[in-house]
Amino acid sequence: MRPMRIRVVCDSSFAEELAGAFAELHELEWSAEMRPGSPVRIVQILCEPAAVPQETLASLAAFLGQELTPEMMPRLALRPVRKNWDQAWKRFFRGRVVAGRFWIGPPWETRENIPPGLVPLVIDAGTAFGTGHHPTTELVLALLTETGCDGARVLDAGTGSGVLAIAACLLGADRVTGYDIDPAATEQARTNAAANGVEGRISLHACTIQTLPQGGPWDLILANMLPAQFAAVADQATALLAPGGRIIFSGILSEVWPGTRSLIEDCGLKVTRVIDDGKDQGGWTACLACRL
Amino acid sequence: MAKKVKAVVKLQIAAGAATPAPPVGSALGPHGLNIMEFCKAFNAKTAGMDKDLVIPAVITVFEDRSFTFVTKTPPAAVLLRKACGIPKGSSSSAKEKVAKIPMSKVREIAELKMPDLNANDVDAACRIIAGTARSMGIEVVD
Repeated sequence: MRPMRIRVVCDSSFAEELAGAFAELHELEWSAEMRPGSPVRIVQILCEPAAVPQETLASLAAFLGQELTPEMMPRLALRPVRKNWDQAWKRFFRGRVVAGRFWIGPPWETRENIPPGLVPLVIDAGTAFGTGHHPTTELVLALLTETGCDGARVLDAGTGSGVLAIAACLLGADRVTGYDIDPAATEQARTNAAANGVEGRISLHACTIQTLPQGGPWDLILANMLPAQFAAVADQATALLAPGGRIIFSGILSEVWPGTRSLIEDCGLKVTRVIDDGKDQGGWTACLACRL
Repeated sequence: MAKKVKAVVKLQIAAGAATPAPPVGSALGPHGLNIMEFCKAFNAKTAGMDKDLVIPAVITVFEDRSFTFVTKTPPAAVLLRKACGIPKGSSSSAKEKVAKIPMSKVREIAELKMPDLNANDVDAACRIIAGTARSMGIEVVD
């Protein structure tokens, strides 16, 4: 059964605050929505079908009625959660050139118009991270193209949709292992590996770096994750690198790069190349580092 | 040329813990933006914050489905609970009072939330916060 939502149509920030406070009290998730040029705010409160939404609706009306006059009272309605909310983005997602070397696009897009000379990479991210178009992915692919991975043993830490693991295969890696803590992600990565014809050269595991069945050593580790997540696995990752092995580290907001650089160097790695996406604000940085 | 705005969506998400599942996914998904990319950006921006803090994010979705977002002050209900040191408000506030809060504290919260409230002045903001407090079973005292 689909979860239900209470739809609250109101025209004041007070009514929105109150509806939010109600959701808070009942430990329900809520969101609010506005359209440009319209004073109307739409608050949506999620409730499971089992939580007797009719009763919740009645108690919300009573709750709001304590503070709001009848003319301020929002319109309330009980609806199922919108269908296919996880599919809508697909209509707007188009393949494009990434890092000057790849064309990354979804399986439902025709591949006739891919410019010549590019490596085609077909990715359906589903609900996993990694459509291939995020700046952090693009930075890894730029560094991977630059440093090369021909014949290398590659580990993709936090593989998500598998986009980086598959890219490493297509660039000539000998064998690639990807892992992710989310089993839905490794399942999606498996589908994507097959769509790109590299399923025989990739092994995928739903696990953590501690429970990874293959102990390395690795010539190259790809770590596109936030610095806090990297900090938690940094020592193990470095220990799994072959002598002279390299690590590509992305997912670093440019504003926290200096601190992250120290974190990387404290692990006994030498930063040899740093690139960013060129944005002044909210930009991303990535680096290539070697084991000393 | 400035991009045309399709919708503005406000969500409450625990710092550093956005995932593409509901409620984030079901609120943003229907607008056609890429949910995973939002989650990644939100988590990066809030990674350094207290994990127990719920951070409202206001996401502007453009017609081409690109988006920008800013993070806001925590919801009034959360700030009120914190100020009173209570884990939860009252769900039958007309009968049951769970705490008292001095007007000066209400004013502090109103001032903090002023930029997000759409109130003309601090007095109007105070009335909104006091109203939220009352409906949660928190009595406002002078």
